[in-house]
Amino acid sequence: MPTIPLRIDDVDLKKIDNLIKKGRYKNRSQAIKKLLLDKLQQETLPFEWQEDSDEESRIKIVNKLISMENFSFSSNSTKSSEDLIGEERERY
Amino acid sequence: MIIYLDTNIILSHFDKTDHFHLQNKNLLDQNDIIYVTGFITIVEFASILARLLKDNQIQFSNELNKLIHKLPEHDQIKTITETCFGRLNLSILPASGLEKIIINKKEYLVENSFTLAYELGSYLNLRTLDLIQIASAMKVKHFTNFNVDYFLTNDKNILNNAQIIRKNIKIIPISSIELISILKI
Repeated sequence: MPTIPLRIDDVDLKKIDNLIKKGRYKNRSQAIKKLLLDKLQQETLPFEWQEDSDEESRIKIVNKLISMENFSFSSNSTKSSEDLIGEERERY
Repeated sequence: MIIYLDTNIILSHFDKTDHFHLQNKNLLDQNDIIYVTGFITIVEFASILARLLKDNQIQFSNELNKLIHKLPEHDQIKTITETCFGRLNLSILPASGLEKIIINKKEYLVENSFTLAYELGSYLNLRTLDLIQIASAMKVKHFTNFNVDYFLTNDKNILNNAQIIRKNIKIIPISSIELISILKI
């Protein structure tokens, strides 16, 4: 198993040491390895259905809309925002 | 002052027909307040937009329609959602980590908003998504070392349980009207 040299600043090292003190990890090496593997596990590949979109053009539109002077919409629903969200929450 | 925004506040800010639209626009224009929210708010917001769009209950300006009409419907929803959140002076809390839970000797790694919501559920009388929102608001301390001062919402269910939430987790649910009155704006 290869060994990788790593530079880490004092603040982050202190956080790791605190986790060791709390008993979450045995030592620094185990903590860093575990945190790295957990992070790797979160890096998911896109699902197949996500690959069809032209993400670059979509983001250009988002940026254009963000820089527009005014932006709002009108809901034709007779319900207020809190009722619409409340209804959504009742469903779960 | 740090304020956590619930989804209904953001929806109301952009929906000019909402009865609290002007109040929420006024509140969210305050530059001396740090506004935060969790990713769950983006999920809820997009879900409501999808429902309104499907039921033909939402109208966009011609300028907006011109820009988004060529996009497939699911991309229109993402585009409007990201525009709304991108236009606000608002920080979206990142995921803060995974917690290990053990059920029947099996270990599971669970995003810690869910583990917090799971614990809160046993003593707060709230709906699942309310619990996840409150758990997200509690996580603010992890990133800033400060508790949120207020959980801004007009949701009656949360506001009716304000005392018990305040007593148990020291977060104060507050309505737009009450906050405007406290801030004297």
